[in-house]
Amino acid sequence: MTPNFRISKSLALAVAVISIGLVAAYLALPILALFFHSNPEMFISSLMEPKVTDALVLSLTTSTIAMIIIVIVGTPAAYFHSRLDYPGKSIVDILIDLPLVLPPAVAGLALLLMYGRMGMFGQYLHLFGIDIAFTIIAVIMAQIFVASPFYLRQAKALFGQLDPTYEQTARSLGASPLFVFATIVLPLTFEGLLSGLVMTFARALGEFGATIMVAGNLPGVTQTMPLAIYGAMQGDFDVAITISILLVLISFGIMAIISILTKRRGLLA
Amino acid sequence: MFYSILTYEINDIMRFQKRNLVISVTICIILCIALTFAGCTSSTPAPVTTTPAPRSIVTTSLSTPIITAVPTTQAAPKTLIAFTAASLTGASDKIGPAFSNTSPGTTVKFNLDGTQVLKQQIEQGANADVFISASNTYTNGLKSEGYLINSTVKNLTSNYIIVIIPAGNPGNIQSLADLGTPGKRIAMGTPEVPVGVNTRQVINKLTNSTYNKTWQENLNKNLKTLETTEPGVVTKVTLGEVDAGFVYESSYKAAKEGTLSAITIPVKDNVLQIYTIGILNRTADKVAAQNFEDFMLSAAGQKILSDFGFRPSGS
Repeated sequence: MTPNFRISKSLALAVAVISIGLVAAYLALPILALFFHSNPEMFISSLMEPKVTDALVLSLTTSTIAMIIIVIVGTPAAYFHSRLDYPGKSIVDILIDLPLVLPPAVAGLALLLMYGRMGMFGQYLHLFGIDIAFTIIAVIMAQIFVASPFYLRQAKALFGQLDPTYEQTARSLGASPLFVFATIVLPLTFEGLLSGLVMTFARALGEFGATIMVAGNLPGVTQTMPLAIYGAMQGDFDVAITISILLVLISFGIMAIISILTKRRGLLA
Repeated sequence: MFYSILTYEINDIMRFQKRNLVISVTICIILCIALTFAGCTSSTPAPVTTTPAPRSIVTTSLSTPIITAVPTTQAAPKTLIAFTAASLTGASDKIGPAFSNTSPGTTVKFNLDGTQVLKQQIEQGANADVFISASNTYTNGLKSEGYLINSTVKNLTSNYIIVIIPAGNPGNIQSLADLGTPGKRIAMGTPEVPVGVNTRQVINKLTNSTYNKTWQENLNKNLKTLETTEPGVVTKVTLGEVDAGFVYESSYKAAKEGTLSAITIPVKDNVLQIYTIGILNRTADKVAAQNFEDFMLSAAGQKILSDFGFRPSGS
């Protein structure tokens, strides 16, 4: 019994080391290749190029705005969705998850056919002189479409796990719903919501397929960092690498933040 | 309760790992380093060895019939890969079947993209037999880098720049001057895609000959999107999402009746884009590739191109 157990234990260890090593190497090596292909002088000099700074500023601005809109609309939606039973709830569940599996190019085309100048809704907006496609608004809309599930799913799950008796007690003692939400629901779910939010921001920052279809590709106006990488690949390779490294650093930082947040929350993460 | 079981298991695993953590991590690091070096050493010489290899076959094939493999492979169906400028997308649908009719058993697969993308892919080691380029600059680049069999590079066809307007003319554009009216929506190619390179030359010529800097500045402000392929511009115009776009004349001529209207650019201000065709050094089947090139240059091939609005390479 004992030697057998020892063998299986060391076998398990070997499998663990090899499989984890493979996973880590497979994921890390291509990213290392980016860094090996660059050097500090090249990185700094292409960092100064307007198309890089423009893309960086645009990406950070649009992703932040997308994130804020998702929080403002998504938080109450997720809260009531998890607290209420209503007809079609399971369809809404599927809709919330849909952007996760939908190819972003499909999302982009759909948005264009909806909000484009000749689109289902866009043609009426156009009558009032409002054009969405190929503007910064289209960039943000594409980001909201593809990134929202990361926050909504997390918020839905957190609110769903929360024991409603806390809220009911507070309400029975005369607290207003908003007061209950701010003083009970929010503090208990805050860190989880924050990590969902950071994931949403990261996804918005990396959005490519939907953006290029509905917002076009104009440096300084709608060319976000992923689009700038695609564009630079066809001309200035160094710039493509520099922007890629920037995105790796930002993503790494974001994941580190999430890891710190979730560690503090223990198992619930 | 569920959590307590979970924590117990996790603690158990953690204890189990902690004891051997140092060994595991060391092995992982060694593995990573080994893989990195393996990756480095194998990836660096790879392009060096693959590039001369086909070249040596090519030089010998001219004198000695190393292509004796051809009769045996001819029995099996063959596939050629043609890296083709995206502006030939429409024509490629006809070229493929027509070529297969003249060379039974051989099919052509087209990788259609902006010529600048195709060039990059070839440089990065993509598998291709034939390169149909919409830009002499990129063709010459690949020639000097040794990717093409230079003697096979021939002029294939040509194309002028034209301004297209969607059905219904939503931007009410009546002339080239209107493109410089603030508030119009215009699409063109990126500065890298051949159609974009020529568009910028045309705009500069128009600025100097007919219009002025203000016209050019306003036109630039009217740009809504820079597309990486010529058909990308055509799509944005056809959908009516922009008021006008700079494309190749062939796209307008081959468009369905009533979908587009156009404003031509005077020949003196225009730029004639010369397309080239050439065989890649790394082709696995030079005879089949040559057959395809011959077909493209033949009357039958040129007829298809002219049906799709392209001009002869001589004009």
